Amino acid sequence: MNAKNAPRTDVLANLLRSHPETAYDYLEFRRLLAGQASAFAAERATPEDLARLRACMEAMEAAHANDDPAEEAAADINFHMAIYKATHNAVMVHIMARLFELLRQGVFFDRSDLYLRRGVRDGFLRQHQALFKAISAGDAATARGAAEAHLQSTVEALREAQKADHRRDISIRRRDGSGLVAKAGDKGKRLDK
Amino acid sequence: MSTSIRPAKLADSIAERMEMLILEGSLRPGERLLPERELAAKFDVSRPTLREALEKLEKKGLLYSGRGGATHVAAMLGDEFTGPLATILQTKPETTADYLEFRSIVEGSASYLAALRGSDVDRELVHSCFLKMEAAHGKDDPSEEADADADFHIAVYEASHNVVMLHIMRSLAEMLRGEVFYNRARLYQRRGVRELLLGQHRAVHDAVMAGDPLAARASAEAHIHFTHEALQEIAAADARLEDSLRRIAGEDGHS
Repeated sequence: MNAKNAPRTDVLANLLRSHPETAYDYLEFRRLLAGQASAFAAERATPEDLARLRACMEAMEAAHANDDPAEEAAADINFHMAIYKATHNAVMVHIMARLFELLRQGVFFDRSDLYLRRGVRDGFLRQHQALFKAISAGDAATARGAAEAHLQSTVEALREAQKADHRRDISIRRRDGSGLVAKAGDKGKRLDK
Repeated sequence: MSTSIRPAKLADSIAERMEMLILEGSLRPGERLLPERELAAKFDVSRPTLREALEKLEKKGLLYSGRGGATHVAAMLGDEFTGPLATILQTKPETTADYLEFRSIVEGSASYLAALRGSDVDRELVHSCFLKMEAAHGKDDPSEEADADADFHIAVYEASHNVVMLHIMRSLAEMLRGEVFYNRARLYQRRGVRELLLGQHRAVHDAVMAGDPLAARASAEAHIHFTHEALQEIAAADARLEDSLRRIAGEDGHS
């Protein structure tokens, strides 16, 4: 799925992919843009834009109801891209389309890792609904706040997911033993020697 | 669980070190590396080891060999990113307004972060870029001033310490220098405009130097808004001039 499109632009993509800490820079960049973009979308969205946003929202809700994390993650990107399209800013659309493509390819982080967490998915859905409602209502200030809050909570969710992975590795090592002691698996004995 | 630990290969360590320099933006796209012999001496390794490291980075697309065997740092975002953007702008000149709208958001945020995070070294660079702008302004050299202007903004992006933003905006800044978005010389040729632009850069500079994020954001946004309006004014003035010229030509035709 990766090497297929855009081999040349992948210089930056490869660089970011092999340095996972850049995910936070990516999310920060997204957050810096998202508030204003959502405010513009609230002010400028045409009926066609709103119909597209509604379709994305419904696809997300359906995937959520079907408990289909992969489908929901894909619909999520389409929803955000639809917001940028509703800003009617061709430069922003071009740049974000590229970034979302990298996101889809898993350059910044493993999205399935986030979406497999039920609590995270529930939170994202509520945030997307709030954002959609504000844009549909033409409420720029609320849309701005909702978008920034959503990106902020994505940062927190990613941080927790990464910590959780690390914690799980520790749990596994503790359960299976370090493999460095004379009688492997002889745990517990160490207390009553 | 694998517990074997091996020392990292020397070539891998060098490749990693150079990759980090590219990621953080210390090694810049287009820069030409020292000759192999000198690089090997810098890293204190043999030439075959150095060559192996360079080959790894070339394979990743981070470096490329130019004429005469020189090695250069590759562009982070290739033609595939900038090409279509240039095409949109050429076919639809009104996209310039979109570019400036995008810039005002990013510029405001970058200046905010620069004021918040910029180290003393970053601040020094922002300061020296501003001094260069001032000097060019005093010399009445619009093209040098426009160049110093672009350098100033890159220094602000560097001080924001967000590598994703830095790489994207560096690519766009190169396009800006290439006059893809609008004709900067025309902007700088207007004496009054140049005075105002310098004052706006001073405001951004002062806020970043003072570590005042909110003032930095506000002055950066105001700067881009002004640029946008000035370009519109220039376009309107050009249109009026063309009208007049056509009228004069028409009158000539009648006489």
